[in-house]
Amino acid sequence: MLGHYPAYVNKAAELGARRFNIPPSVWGKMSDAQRWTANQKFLDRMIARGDEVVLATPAAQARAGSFFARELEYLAGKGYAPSANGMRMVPGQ
Amino acid sequence: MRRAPMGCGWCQGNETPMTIEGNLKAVAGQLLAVIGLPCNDVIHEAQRLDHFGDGEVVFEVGPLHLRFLRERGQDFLDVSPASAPGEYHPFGDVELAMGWKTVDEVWMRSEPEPLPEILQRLRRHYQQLQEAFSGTQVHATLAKLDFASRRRGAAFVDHLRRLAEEAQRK
Repeated sequence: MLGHYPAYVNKAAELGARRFNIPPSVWGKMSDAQRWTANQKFLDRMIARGDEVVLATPAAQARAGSFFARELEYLAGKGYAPSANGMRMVPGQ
Repeated sequence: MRRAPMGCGWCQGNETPMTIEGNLKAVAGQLLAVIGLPCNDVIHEAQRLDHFGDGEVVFEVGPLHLRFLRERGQDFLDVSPASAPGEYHPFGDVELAMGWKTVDEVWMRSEPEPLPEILQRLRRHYQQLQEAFSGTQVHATLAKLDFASRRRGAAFVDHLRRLAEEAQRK
């Protein structure tokens, strides 16, 4: 599951879905490049499984320049497209 | 929502614990003080220590509620009318709705804009925002904001679809 805080956290807990999470003490010491590398690994695992990705925040509401927007662009670059209602990223055939 | 009678003492950032949340509150308060906005109250604050230290702090500034949001270490500013708080709008959408930026200028960013730059623009346009978020103009402003959010969102989704189509063709 991907999305913006706090919907992402709440929805993942509700559905028992996998979410990307790193303790603040570790995240705070990482460079931007290290943060994105860790984030990308999480996305690559979803892509390798061929998962449909549930969005806690609609794609259209992604904040410009946010990690969430970047995650969506990364998935799209791997052939994932937003579903009609914008609440999922669906792998290409 | 929790109302704390803190007044502008928060704007000085005094006695603020150096937690991630404290930093956000202190940084936001200091920025508001530096640019000379009439900060009244911290009206809400929250933090998730278990999730990147994400958190938010909301200040009442004249007819506006300014929500400073920290998500995975990135800071954002949202706006809501104080007279009808609840739904917050990214400041970029406000700029689009007010005609200060184009759709492409708002969504085509690879990282968030630094808060000091956003707040300087907010200060520059504060009088217009005061009018737009006050009295009878609020409803028209909210309608414009809704339209702006939909335009910006549609542009980003179109961009995602183009990226996906290109990737699928490869």
